[in-house]
Amino acid sequence: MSVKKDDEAGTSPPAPPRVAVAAAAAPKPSTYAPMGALRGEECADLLALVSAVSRPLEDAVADFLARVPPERRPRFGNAVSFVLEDKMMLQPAERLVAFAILHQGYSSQLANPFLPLLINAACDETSEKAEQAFLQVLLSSTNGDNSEVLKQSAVDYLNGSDYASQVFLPREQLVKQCSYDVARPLPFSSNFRDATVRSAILDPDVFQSVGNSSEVSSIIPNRDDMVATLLQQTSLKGLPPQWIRPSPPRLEILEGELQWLNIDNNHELLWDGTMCADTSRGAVIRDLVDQACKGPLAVAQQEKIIEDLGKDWKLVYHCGMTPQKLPDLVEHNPLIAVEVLSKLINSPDMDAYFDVIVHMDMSLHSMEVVNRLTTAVVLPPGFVHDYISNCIRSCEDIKDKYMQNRLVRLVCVFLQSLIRNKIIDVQDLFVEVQAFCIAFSRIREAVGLFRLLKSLE
Amino acid sequence: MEPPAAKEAPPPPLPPAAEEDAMLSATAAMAKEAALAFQGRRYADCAVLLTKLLDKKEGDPKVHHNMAITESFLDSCPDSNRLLKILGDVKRRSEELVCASREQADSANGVGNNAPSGSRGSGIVLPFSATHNASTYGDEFDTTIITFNTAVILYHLHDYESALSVLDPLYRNIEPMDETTALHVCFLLLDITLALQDATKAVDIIQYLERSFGVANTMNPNENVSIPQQQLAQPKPPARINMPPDSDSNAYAGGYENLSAGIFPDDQIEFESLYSTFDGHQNLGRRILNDFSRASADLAATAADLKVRLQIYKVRLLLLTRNLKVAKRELKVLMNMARGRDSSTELLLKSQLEYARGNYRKAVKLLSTPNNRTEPAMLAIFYNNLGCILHQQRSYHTSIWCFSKALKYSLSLRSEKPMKLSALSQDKSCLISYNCGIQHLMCGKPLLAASCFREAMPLFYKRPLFWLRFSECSLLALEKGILCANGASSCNDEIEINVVGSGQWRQLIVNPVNLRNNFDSAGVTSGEHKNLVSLGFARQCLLNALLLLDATEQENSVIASNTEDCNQGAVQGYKSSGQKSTASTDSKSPSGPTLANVNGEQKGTSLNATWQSSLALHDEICRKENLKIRQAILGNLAFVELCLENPLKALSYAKSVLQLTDCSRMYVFLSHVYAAEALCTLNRPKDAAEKLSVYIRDGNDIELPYNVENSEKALVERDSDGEDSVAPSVTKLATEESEHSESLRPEEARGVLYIDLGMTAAMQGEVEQANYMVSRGLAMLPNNPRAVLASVYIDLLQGKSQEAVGKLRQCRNVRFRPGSIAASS
Repeated sequence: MSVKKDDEAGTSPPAPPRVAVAAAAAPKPSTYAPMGALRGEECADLLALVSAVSRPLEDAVADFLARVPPERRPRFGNAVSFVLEDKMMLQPAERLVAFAILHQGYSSQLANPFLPLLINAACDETSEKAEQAFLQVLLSSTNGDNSEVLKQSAVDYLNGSDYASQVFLPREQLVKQCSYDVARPLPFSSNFRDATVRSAILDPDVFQSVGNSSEVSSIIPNRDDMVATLLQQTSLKGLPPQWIRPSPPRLEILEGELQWLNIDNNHELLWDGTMCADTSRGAVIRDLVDQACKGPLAVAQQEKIIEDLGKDWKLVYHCGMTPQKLPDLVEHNPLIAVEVLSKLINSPDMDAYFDVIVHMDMSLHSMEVVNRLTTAVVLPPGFVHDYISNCIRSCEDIKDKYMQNRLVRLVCVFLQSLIRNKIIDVQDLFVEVQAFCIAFSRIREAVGLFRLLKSLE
Repeated sequence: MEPPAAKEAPPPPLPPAAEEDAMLSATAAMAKEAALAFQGRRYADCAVLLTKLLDKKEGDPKVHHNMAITESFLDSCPDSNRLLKILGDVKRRSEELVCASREQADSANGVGNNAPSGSRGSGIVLPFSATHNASTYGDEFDTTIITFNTAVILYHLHDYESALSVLDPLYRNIEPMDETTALHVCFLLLDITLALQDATKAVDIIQYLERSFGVANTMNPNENVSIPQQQLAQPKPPARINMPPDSDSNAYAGGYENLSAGIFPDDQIEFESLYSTFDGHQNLGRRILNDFSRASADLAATAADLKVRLQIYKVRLLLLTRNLKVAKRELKVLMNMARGRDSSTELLLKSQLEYARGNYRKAVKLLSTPNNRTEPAMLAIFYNNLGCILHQQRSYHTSIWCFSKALKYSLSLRSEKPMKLSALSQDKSCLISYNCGIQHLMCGKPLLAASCFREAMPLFYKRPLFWLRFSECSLLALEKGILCANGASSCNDEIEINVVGSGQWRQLIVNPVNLRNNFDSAGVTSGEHKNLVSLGFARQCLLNALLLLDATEQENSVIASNTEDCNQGAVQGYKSSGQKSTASTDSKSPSGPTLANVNGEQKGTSLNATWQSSLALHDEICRKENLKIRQAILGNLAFVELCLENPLKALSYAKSVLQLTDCSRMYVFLSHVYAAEALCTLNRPKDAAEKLSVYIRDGNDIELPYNVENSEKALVERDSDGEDSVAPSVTKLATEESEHSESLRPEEARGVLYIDLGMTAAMQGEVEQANYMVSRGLAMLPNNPRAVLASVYIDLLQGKSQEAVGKLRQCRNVRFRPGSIAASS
């Protein structure tokens, strides 16, 4: 029983036909078939070819080339080498024919894929002398000049005595002679997968003792049958190393993964109520707001705006207000500005409005607007702080003493109001406000503010 | 079923010019009439009026829009896609008109208007949002309703992603919208976000609603008391909130009159006295709004229902975020509010709560209570939810029966004539199909599961978990031997030995591990199944899942980093220079500090805290789940790539499993084994052995790669308050059982390690070591055909063929097939 270990250097079998591997590996159950199996008639061919022991070897080779189409040859060759592996399977003469086929039938290829096998067999000390000699002749002769040997039949060769005088070349020389480079990189193949052991185990159900040559010949039909079945059925690749690849577990069903159903809310299509609507909606207020940006409004006009916004506060979005107009509105009509701003507080544009207020010139009106806003809505702290800083800066910048005193008093009262109402956190502005109080300590309100600050410390 | 508020036809905003009947033009009068007809559900009349109106105002997009809406009610929505197209056309037309009119307006008063305003504005260029402009030119070409209706249709078609993308811009600019529409937008958006399981967004909307509509049902019951007190304490002038109450607008205006008399400043004014008026600072209370505005009078009547509705959303959201304690409390509040109403919704929620808490018997009882179980929609809900509960009780087969029944009822909605838009959304077959698929997966029926998942695809295709489940169908098929792949094990594995020849020539041919002879049954799989259950498809599914998971995690990190952008309803961060930090911290807390005054602040923050902790809890749960999903995806990918013979890819996936933080030890084990196999295949047995030898202790002994506790999930702690104290422990036990049945036991895993290490040793020529390892492995896995073959391989390698034959004869999973049969085949 031959155990083939392929990862020993130089004994690699011919690369298995990659096409066949790929096809078999495709995860389609329908295409499953034992790898590398031969068709029934090919087995018959193979057995017929090797059994032509009394015809000249070159005839057998020619026969092989005629019968086996080129695309089947690699597979056929594999089958031949598989059969050769087990030395019991073929009779000595048949083996010679098989070797001849492997040597000659594939010599047209760039590199004979079976050379390693032939070289191994030629150097195999356990083989018959004749067989070794035969292979030595085949391998050591350069192309064409071995016709002598091939003109004989296998039986003639065995019966002759030429082989006795054959010089056995050492392995290295054979390799050299065949211009076969052991280290030649094979096309990538996985050694792991290819590290197969011969999967056919001889398991006779009769005792070994019956194995003499005469009986072998008598049960040749039996053997042919076995070989044919074997070749048709087996993967010629043998048994690869076994690896256990555990399946990944299924992810447990996560909490809430199963879909619990709830009763739907009904969402119906809406009627568009603004169809053919009076486009004058907000026209009055738009006009008024426009006027308010140009000069103070009369009390009645102010009331109208407040009333309209009171009825439908969303009108504020339709009254033509823009951040650019705000400074004018603040100066002329601070109350309207408060009204409008407090309703715009959640508007996406509110940042722009805040920005305008912070950067516009300081005045009683702007301060009034901010103060009223602080009581009406909650303002972003950033805005209030910026505004206060701006107030303080304006007080310092002002040149006119009277106006400065006025503004400082105003700012002080404003700040006190903010602090008492906890609109601002004193800590955030402590240094700035303190400096302001000290700078203007001549003013009563500043002293008052300073005291308030100290009391909060 | 539903809060009565919504049962009524949505109250369409009346034409705003209602106050001045005399001034109505002819078309406006007709429009009003049509609106009334629509409201009164006299759609045929309405259509007639609209047709007349169309004669007068040809091409008016709004008339076309209303016509389409009316027709949809008339024809019972024959074709929602056609409706979508009409709405799209109408919207485009409106936008064209807006452009035209804006150009007109600009040319009329453009330059003169802008120039002078800069003088006082310190000349800074102000950012101008486009939305503002749009609303300035507003009403006539306003597309709000059109957009909303588009979203409604998409919602009913279960296209939540698209609906969200349509509706979100409206929500972002919700302030200028009239309250009725705003409410509709918010509620629709809530349903969409809940369907998309976007808890963050839903919280945002709920908080916006509470803030803007004053319907806050505070999460902390104690705080309810403080609101009326605050209101009582309010001195004049009355509290100003951003939604000025029209009811006391007179008093308001009067107040102003008084002030304005004194305010317009003279130089003589005493500032102290002026400002002293502000010193008696008023408290800003938040009004509980019981009337919104003139335009939504009928909504005002249902303010209580509004509250109930919001409360329902809150409970659903809390259940989504699995904050069961608070959900329970809020549900109690809801039950109290909902006295005397049709309480099916509440009972279902209660049942869901008990289900989530693991009190299954209670859940079933509650589920069985609603009595209107005659409509198919309700029946579908009932059976589906029952199926969920049965699943938890591990009655998988009964559960499948329930889901199938639910599916049948749900599908029957589709065939209902005339087809209503709402029936479309009631058809939950996608969701039920998913449940069904999960059950089939649990019961080991991969083909059925896969076809269920295919049905569920339209709603789930954005979820990583869905694709993971889909891929699990193929893996299960592999396990069940319906698929086969080189090297993968299945439960039908066996060793087939061909007996060839007879007598002296008899040969045994040892075949690699094979599927028991049932390819034929697998071959029966129809074409569709072949597409859904295959290793190639599994790989595709897993790659989808991985992509989606990466995308969601990226998205989450983006959201976390700039919360201010998505907190639309929250404070408009005041972004002035130097204040960036304040603004951003401000907006990170998505409640409405804008509106809370000093006294209300406490309330604001506590509300906030509840939601925040809910969201944080939910985020944490999601993060953990995503980790599990990711390790499963990567593990499965490594496995699938090995099966598809791509060792390089398998190796890289296995490595990325190992790089996960907090990876479970079971996946660490699996990825070691996968990586080792890949390395072997790549002719690197030494590296492979190194991978596996991390488990070697004391010479040649291998430790258990994981144990039962850490192989599986730590049970999410249920909120048990003693009511049903038995249930949680039962669940725990059951969960452990299922782990055992489904995955490799630690002892077996150790056996796998021995065998595989033995093989790497054999590859390196250490036959002795290989022999030792494999025989130990075989002792642990005596019935594993691969382990037996591994041992046979080693024997044959050593030329001990008789021992190999002996092992094969002893093994249970070996079948000897006479060669003659094979020969004839």
